[in-house]
Amino acid sequence: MSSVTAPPPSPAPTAQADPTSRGLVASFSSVDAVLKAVRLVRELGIRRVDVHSPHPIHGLDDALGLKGSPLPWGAIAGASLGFGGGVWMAWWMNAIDYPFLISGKPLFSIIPSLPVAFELAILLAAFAVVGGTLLFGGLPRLSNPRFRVPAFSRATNDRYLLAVDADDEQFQTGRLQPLLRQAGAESVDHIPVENPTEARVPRAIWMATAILLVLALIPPVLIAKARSSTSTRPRLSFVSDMDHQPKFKAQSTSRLFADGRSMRPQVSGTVARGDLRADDRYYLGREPVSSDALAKAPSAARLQPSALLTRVSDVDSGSPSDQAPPSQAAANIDWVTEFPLAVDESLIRRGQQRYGIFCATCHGQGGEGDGLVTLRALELEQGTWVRPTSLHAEPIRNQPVGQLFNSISNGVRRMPGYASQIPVRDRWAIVAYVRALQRTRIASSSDVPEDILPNLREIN
Amino acid sequence: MLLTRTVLQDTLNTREHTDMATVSLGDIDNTIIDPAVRPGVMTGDNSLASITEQVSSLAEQPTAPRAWKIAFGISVGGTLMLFALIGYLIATGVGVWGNNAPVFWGWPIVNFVFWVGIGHAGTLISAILFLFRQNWRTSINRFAEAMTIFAVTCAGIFPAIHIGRVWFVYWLAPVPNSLAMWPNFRSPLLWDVFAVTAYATVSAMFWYLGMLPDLATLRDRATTKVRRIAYGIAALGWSGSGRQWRLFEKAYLLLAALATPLVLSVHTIVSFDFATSQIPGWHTTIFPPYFVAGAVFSGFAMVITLMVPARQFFGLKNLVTLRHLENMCKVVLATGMMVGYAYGIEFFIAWYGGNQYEQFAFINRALGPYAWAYWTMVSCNVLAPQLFWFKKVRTSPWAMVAICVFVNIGMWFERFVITVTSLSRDFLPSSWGYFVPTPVDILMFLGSFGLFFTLFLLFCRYLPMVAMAEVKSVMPHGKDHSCPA
Amino acid sequence: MASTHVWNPEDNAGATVPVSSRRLSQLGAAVAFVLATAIGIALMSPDGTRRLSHAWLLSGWYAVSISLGALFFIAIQHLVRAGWSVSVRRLAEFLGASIGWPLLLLAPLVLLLLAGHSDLFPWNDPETVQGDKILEGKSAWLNAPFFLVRAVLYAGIWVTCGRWYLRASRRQDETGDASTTLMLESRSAVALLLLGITITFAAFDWLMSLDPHWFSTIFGIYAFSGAMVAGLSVLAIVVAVIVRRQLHPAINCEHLHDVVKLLFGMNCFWAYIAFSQYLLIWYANIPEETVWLRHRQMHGWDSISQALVIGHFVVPFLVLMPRAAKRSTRLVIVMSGLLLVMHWLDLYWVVYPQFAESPVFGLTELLTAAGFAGVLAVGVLLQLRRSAFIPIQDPRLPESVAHHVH
Repeated sequence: MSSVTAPPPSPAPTAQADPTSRGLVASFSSVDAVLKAVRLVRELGIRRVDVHSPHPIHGLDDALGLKGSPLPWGAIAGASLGFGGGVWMAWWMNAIDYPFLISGKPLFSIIPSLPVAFELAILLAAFAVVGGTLLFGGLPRLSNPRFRVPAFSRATNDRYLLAVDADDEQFQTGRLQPLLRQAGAESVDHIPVENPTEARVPRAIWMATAILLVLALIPPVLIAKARSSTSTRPRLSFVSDMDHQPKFKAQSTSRLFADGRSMRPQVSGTVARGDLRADDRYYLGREPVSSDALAKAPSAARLQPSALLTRVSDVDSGSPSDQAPPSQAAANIDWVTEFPLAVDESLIRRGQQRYGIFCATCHGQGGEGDGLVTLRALELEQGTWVRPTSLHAEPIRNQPVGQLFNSISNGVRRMPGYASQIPVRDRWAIVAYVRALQRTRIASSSDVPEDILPNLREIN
Repeated sequence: MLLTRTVLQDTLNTREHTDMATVSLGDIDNTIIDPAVRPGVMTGDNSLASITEQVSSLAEQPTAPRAWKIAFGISVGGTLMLFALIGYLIATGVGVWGNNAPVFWGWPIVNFVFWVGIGHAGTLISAILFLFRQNWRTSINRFAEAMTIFAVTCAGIFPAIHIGRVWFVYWLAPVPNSLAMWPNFRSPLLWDVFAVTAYATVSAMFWYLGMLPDLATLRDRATTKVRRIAYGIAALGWSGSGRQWRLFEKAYLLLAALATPLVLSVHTIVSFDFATSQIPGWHTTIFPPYFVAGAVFSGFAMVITLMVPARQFFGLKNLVTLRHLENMCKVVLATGMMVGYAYGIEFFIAWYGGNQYEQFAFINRALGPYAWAYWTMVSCNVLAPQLFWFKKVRTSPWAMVAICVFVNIGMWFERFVITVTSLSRDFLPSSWGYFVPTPVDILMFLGSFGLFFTLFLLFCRYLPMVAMAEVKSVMPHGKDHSCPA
Repeated sequence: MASTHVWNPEDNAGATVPVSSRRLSQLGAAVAFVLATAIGIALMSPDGTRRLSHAWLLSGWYAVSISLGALFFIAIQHLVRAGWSVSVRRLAEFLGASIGWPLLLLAPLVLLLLAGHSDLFPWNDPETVQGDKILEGKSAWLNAPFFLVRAVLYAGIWVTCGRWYLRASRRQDETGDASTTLMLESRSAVALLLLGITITFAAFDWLMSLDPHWFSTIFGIYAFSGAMVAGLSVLAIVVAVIVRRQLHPAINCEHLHDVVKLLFGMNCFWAYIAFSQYLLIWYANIPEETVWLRHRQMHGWDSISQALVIGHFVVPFLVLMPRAAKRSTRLVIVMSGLLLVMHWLDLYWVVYPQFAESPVFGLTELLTAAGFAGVLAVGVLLQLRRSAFIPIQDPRLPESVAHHVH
């Protein structure tokens, strides 16, 4: 506990023009006295004079000749920058770089941009003001020779200190000291020249700072390493979030079952509901294969009869096919020639709609092989696109419906299979529609019903 | 009339034995007024040195007083509970709160608005009263500003943890991220992020800048090496030179001018969180000024609640005089009337506007399942402050603490009423529900008080509680140098 | 200069301004002529009465709001025990006490309402109200007799308040009784409360109900902020003229500076309130509210809206921000004049879209505005004849005279 009533240490009795002095500090007990002293000192032509006081002194600026302040300009600059930056962010981020519509608001409008712009204007202006205060006030400055004058500690308490720098051209200790005393100074002290070792920051602080800096580098280094390298170990999970869920995943083990598998095989001799698919005509588009024929088939096909049907190449297409070999197999298959389901207008309409969704993008609405995707891909001329065969080509027209069904289900050449996307009945509907489409190109006027005939007119 | 005469007579009698320049009224009640005389900011015989000694010694006690230790222990307990619950929340998920359909905004937002509002009084005292040249603010502004910063700290916790995956909190700010997307600048919630961040930053800078001279005082009085280094670094080498003071005063004025619209904007934007929506009871144009008035109201109530025990305990009665307290009570009364005005106008326009949803929302507030909360709010916020019409109440410290505690309760309930009553009555009656807080909700709110008081007690223990330099600058010394700016 | 000036009783000389009765009656006659011309034009042109009633209301509220702003100023200054403003307070008291004249001229509008006219307020037309559920719901509030009762109540409170402040202040001129100041201070709390409530509901009644469907809870505060800007603008101009001509040593640049600071602050407050109202309605986008603003963004009203943003806020904000601007009498007169025009435009923007599809401006608007401003001026001059324009015995006057803005 320090005592304020203790008198300041007595000043050096005489101040010489001393190479160890950096100036003089005079202590005053009233505002008026220090203001008077400042005027006296400045009248001597001394400019490097300053007053240290425990509170701002009104009228000191004039006495010291301080004028103007850059702070308002800094504030205006900060405010403009913040305001402009706020509006710019709202515009560029939400309307240009990542435009997204939300709640029917325009992508950019000045109205909702104002709050952020306003806040940033205030924030940056405040930064400018505080930054300017520190910058122009010479802060932080932890080591100041004036602090070494014992009397100085009362500059933040109850005394007004006048400090004159020895650097000033008009500085003369012999003249100044009596003058200051006359002006009512309680004490006049020399500012000691800094002892270089004392002014230095203690080694322990340097060490501690260095150690802390090194330690602080460890986490970012670890993070950087983790981000740039691969690891076979599962990642660290600081917050479990939904990483670990109490459920079995495919291909994982489980101790619940004797075989250790978490995936359960089907019970032997059973078929899952809806998976029977006993009707080959309907599900595969071909006549049922007798067990004898199956026995003669290659072993791979025996294991999975449908393998026979996958990716058959169209032997009759005439175009150079990618994979010729299975062609014989395809030709040998006994495709159904009749629809295995009732065909009516609603089925064809359904087929038209599905065709429009799944097929027309490549095959074109008319089946000419001129869909938008095809045209676009050919335009890009990347050389890898094979134009789909026109559905009106003779070989295709002659294909049995079963083979068309198979092509849709399993794909052909570059065309992928659509079995997973289009249900069986819809595939047959598409086949029916393709048949209707094919018919349009080979029809004659005799095919047209009598009542519609008068509506037709000739075009070339 | 008779009363005024007596009052005047008293004042005149007092003036006879006081210096005309320094109207220090000693220990007598300085709330009486003679219009021709401006009473000093303080009572008693104060000098520059006595102010330094009185304020600094509070921060220099080698061992803390027993009462401080007990209070600190309790507060730290609350803080630890808060942190533990936050850990629990992060590990488990926001489901530990009572927030659920249709009340998705429960206590967290209520607590957020409550704490942000508390903070407003500090800025009002430090900035707006400064611009209005209210010198009496110098005794209480440091205290109130500290309260602002701690309250905003408490406030910031709730929106930060309510986002669920707190480690993505930086998504709230427009920083480039791996998703290559930006926050929505048309959302009032984003405005809130900017507003509260700017507010916390500017308040902290304002506070710190204002404290530099006082930190230098503590540095120069330090008797131990640790204190000298700690306060020496904190004071940044402040020397109180003419140039520094000049910059300081200019900066203070500019920061006050910046903080004034800022403080208004913060609660305005908080009110936008509600009022830009279409929820009945939320969407009403009076919300911005109404929220600001409510914030100042609750903030001043909190200042009084803390100030009265603090001036008693730390022996600051000569600096924080009865007149200070009376002035603050008047501000509480005035802002309380503004809040009451807003309640009334909201009700009137709900009827006048003829929108049946709006009408329902207000009838439901007053008569629905949350009527108890609504009437708690009205009694605490509108009725309780009416007692401040009486001078006797305005000048009895403990009576005003009681009223101000009620005001704080009422202002918490105001946010509860706004948030929960409107949400619990969705447009779809099948979704209607009744909000019930979980123990986590309640304990977290209590824990936030623990954090607030922890910070506050640390402030009281280690930092200058009264802005010494500013008080000195309004003391009559020398000639007329009474204005800090 | 100000800080060294000490108030002496002999300074009271020159605090009274002789206004010749001849000049006053000439001005009165001119005002009467202007208003009569406006009425004459209205009666002669088609749809003229409807237009005149809107112009009349607009100008009437304009004049009343100036006085109300002054009354708020007085009440607040008393309440916060302000010292600096004492020497300019009497000027505001003159303005406040003159509120009766424009109010009297507004009375015919209420009488027309009682007679069943619905030119101004559509809710007074039973055919419009019938079948409109919302208007039927409001009819308990929006009906001619109750409207009259309320109008009388508001006017009564305002006139009483205005006259009371001036009378008490004048009494102090003679007695020098310090207790008058204390009495005014304590009662100003009640006065402020009454003023706040009455201006709110008056704004609802007289301005908001022009579109009886529309509503906005902030509207009362909007009217208050506009009134404060108007009242302080007039005060600033008067103070600036006094300072410029050095009419009296008790009113100087320091007082001008503070009046303009208040004006600057209140103008920012107006912008804040106007923006808040706009943003919230814009954002929530609820048809029943946006319709009001939407109309004000079309058919030429959009340019009025933009002019308000620029002229009412941006320009005064930027120009009056520097300290030097607030102390420059010339700039202050120009900017306060601009704000007075803008306050008129603000009210025009509120009132006229209810009357016309697109902005119209002609002799009717000009003459009524000039007439009502003249009426207020006559009121002020009448008061000015009767006492000093400085509260010469106010105990805080020396403080005010010595006031110095740092």
